[in-house]
Amino acid sequence: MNRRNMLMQLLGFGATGLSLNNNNLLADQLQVNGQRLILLELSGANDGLNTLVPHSDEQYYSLRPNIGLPKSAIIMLDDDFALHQSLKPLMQLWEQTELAWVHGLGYPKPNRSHFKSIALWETGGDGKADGERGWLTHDIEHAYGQRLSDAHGISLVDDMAVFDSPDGRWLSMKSASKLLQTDYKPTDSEGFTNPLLKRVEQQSHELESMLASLSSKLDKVADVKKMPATGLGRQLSEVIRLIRAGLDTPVYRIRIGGFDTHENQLGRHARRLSELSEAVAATRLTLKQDNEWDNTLIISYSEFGRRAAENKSGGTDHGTAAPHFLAGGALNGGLYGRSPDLSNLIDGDPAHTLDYRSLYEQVLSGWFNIGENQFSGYQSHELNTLFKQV
Amino acid sequence: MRNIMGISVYGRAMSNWKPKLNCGLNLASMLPMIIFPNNRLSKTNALVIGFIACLLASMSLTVRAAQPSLDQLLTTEDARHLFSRTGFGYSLAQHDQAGGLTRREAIDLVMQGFATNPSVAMPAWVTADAPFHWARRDMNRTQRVRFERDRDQELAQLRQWWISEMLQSPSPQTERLVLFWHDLMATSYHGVNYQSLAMAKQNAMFRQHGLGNFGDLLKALIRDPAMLNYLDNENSRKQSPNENLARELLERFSMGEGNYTEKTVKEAARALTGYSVSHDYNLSFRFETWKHDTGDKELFGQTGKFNGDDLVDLILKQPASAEFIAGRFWHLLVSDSQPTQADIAPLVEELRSNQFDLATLYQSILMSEAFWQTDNRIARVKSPIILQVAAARSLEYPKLRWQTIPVTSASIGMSIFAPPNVSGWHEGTAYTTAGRLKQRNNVIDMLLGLKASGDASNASMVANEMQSLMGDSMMKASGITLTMAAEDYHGPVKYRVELRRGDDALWESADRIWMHGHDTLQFGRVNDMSNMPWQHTSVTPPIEHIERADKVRVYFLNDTAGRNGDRNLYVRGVSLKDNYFVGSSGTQQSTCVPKNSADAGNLYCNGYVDIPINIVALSENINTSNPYQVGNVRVRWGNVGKGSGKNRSRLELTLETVKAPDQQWRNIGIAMYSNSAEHADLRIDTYSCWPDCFVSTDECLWLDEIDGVTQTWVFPLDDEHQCHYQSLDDKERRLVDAIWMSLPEFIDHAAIAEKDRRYAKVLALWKQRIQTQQGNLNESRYAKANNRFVFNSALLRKVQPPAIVQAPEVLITAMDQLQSQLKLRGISVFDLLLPGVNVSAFPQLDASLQQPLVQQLRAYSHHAVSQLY
Repeated sequence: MNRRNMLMQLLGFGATGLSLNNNNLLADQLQVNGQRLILLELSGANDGLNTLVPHSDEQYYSLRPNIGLPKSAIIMLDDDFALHQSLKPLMQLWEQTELAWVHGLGYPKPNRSHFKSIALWETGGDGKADGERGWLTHDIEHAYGQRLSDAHGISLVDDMAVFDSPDGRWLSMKSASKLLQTDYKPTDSEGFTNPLLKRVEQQSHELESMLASLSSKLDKVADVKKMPATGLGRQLSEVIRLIRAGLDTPVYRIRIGGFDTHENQLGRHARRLSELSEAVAATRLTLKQDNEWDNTLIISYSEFGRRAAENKSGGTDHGTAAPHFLAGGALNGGLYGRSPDLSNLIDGDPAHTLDYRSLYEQVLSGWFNIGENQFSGYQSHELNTLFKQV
Repeated sequence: MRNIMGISVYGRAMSNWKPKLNCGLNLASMLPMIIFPNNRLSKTNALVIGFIACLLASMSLTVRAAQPSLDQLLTTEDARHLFSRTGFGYSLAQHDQAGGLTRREAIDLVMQGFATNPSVAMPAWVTADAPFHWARRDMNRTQRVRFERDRDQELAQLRQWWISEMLQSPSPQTERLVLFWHDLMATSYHGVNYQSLAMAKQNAMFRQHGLGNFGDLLKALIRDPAMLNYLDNENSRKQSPNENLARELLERFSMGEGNYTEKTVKEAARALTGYSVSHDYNLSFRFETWKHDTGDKELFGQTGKFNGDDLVDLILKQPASAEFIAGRFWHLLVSDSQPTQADIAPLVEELRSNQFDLATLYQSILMSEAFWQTDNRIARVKSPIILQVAAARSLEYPKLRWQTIPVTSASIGMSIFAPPNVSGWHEGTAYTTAGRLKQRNNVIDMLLGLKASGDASNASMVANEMQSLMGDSMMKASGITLTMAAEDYHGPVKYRVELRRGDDALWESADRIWMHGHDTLQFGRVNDMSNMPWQHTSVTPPIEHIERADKVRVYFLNDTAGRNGDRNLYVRGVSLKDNYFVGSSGTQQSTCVPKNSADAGNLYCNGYVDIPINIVALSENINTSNPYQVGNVRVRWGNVGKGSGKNRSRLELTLETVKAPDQQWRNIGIAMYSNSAEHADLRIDTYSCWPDCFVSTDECLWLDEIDGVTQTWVFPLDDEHQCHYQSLDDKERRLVDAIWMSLPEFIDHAAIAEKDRRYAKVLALWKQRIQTQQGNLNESRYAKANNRFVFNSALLRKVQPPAIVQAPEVLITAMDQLQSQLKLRGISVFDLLLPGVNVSAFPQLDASLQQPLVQQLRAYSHHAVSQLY
């Protein structure tokens, strides 16, 4: 039981056994368990087949005579699947069952535009209907209410974009120090008021208190050491710094780019995966020392996978379904779901075997304890052992 | 009348405005002049007295009992409310114009001021021929990156053009309306395969139909190339209808969720099959009738062979559609909050009775009581564009920073021409979330000159810095013009230009500062190349050096970077003597040379880029004597039948950049059709050529029965369809002759150009068929004139110099000039900046009036009211 639930019990609320259908905000808040999620976007569309390699499938090698990874360039996970050798640092996680892969994630009527498909993944839409808001925005806001002293989510890339919402606190920053480098002092208006003016003033005070809290918490935190000096490494060290500061924030958002490997992909893809795995492995080591790894879950996502067959330029074009990974101390690591059948492609692409929203459902219900969430309809038994029971 | 308000420095009053003074108004405006002939009275007091007099006058007259409030004289607050709601903020020019008008007259002024054409012409490429988007398929990576960068640059210019138009248009109400449609009927450049032209066309379409008939607008929308691409309708065919456009048309553009069934979506999608885009016809709408489902559809309880127009007509018969559009206009003009039924009902009724006239709807809302209520005067959150453009139009001098408005706007959540998805931007308090509020303050502080150069309290320093932003953007007639952009970090980019011949430097400029950069420390990197703030600058070396030089070298001298930003220089190209040389054709020497040569010119580190300026090479080969020339021939599509139809084949080729005597085409698309080894014909239809190949019509031509428009001209080798050829005039016949006689070469050429060899089989078949028929061809009527095409790749090589987006005219370039203009009129800066509420309602702002202007602006920017209107 964490501090928050303890407090609620002391206040006379039971920590368990509340009706999930109860829309009372306070009741829902009791379900929240202090876990955090790091959303990791592999921007450009990661080639799933050369990441989690189906090495026992002859079809894989016949589709990819030049860029199919030979047995010498992969790390065996089991009789059928292996990791790209650049993911070697992740093997420490795999051996401790802290790494899970989910096969064949996708959605019906796939869209092959980077822009459109990432918008779908981020909002929980599919080729039939767009989503509007970040896929977890509403559920997280509802579960945490206004109780957070810091932010519902912090993005270390650009803008919070679709995850932002006026009902919650979603911050974006290059780094906390940059965000705090200039003062923010809203004026309290006297005299004329109206509801909208009040609301914006309220938003500005929320920001002010968030910045104050951030600033005081960060005061005591030392710089994070031993993280790779890469783009992703820097984002993750910023996340670790915020975690160390004791920030009350359930969602972080980070990104690694360069996965749009249309040409000569072998070297390029390997470099991206190295940066990825080194940063994740270093994060795990640091958070383990900090005793925060069990509270942390990293999940990867990307626009889509890439074509099953290689193209004539030694690369791969836009495809559909792909595997994604989860990393964290509370995982039952392993392989989940079914790998798409490579001898049964649809327009040259592997057919998805699991709707990606089933993974979202499991993250919301299994990780955040939000049993009733907007993806409840996608619940899949294939994922219900993903997290260790506490 | 205008004298009472102060002498206007503008003299740019709308020409179609003819004030009609009523009795009360005349009295009101004359009274103070009569009472105080020496004008000892301050102007503000005169206004107050005038206003009271007017009230008294109108009370005693009570002419219009129904809506007396509309005949009230406009107060300053009223005027601010009306103009900032319909446009961007409230400018000095509007202030001068509004004096003495009644509310009704001011509404008329707004309504008469709408325009269907922008006051600043769109960039030149918008009216030029579209680039060959189909060619991307055959490009290597470098070519493709170069192609995409070119489109990105066009889009960057389109963004700058629109911002420039918003800043200086005499019709801000038009720009607000176009922005409204762009948000409601959202289409993103990032979802249309780099079709910058389609985005520009859509903007023009919204101007054309934005205040006309809603049905016409929807019918234009389902024909809009950008929308058709964005919502995947281009390839929607009866065998597999795509539902995206149909769904969004119902849900977001005309009715709203919950007012139709899933079945309606499916049937609507069938009605929209075949609504597509012709690339051969310069990226225009084409109803591709062979993809259209001509069967019965059931829509809203009716059954018929409905097409897209029928669908729109049926939608407008549903009660939800009038409520939908009335509600959206109400949000635009009145409030972010929900209208009541009483607000909407009369509008809905009026819409139905006048067949959805949008101008009437707009006007009726302005004339409603709700519009003028005090509660609704601070009722909307400024979108990032409104936040900046309104401040710039009100204060003038921030217009000097116009180039970076698109990218700073993107950093606070609104990138024009790139809404996040089809639902547009999340408006209202979604713009003022904690994540964005601080950045909004930064943006506005910078625009107002409260942050520049560190010491914001020094107004004259701010003024000097702003002043230096002027002047650099003009293109000079002589000399060399560079197109560049920069990202700043702790200061701007320093650069130097050199003219070189071989290893010798002929001339070098002094070290120069680039003043148009985007501040990465404040607002992050640009990220999106289509948001680069491209600008031009000129250097004028002695003419003899220009003539001798074979390359231009641009040095980036002061690279720096940190974890929160980066200083970079982007050299896009060099223009001289009507020629344009792209930076990506150059070579870069720096410590971080880009991996792709198409990115030469993107200087991320100290170093230089050499851009070759070989004018001779450009012009050689262009003047061959053959009258028929073609730049390239590309296979676009082809197939060979199967089974019993295995002798049938169709091959579609596009001739790219075609010259004939006195004529030139962007492209000519031809279809070759054959059903046996002995048969072949050449087909050209209405949409094949840009511009049109033929003007003839004849009853014998094939007419598409479904659209009733598309004609096909068929030119066989045998004696069939004689009258198609007969219908042409001599010049047109010679073109057909030359195409037929050059077919063998066309097929060979297409086979070489095709990178992925997808059509190798069909090309081989055609090569063989033409060979078999060569005898017949040589005997045919096509052989008589003995015209043939020659290939001339130089036709393709001519690169248009980048369009120049003129900087907006800035009448007040510094804060102290603004101060004196305010003084002249006896008003404070809050009389321009605030929503339609008097400054006395905000004690802190009121108190700041005792302080210098810069302090007043700071008080304003930190007050929540600055976010609202």
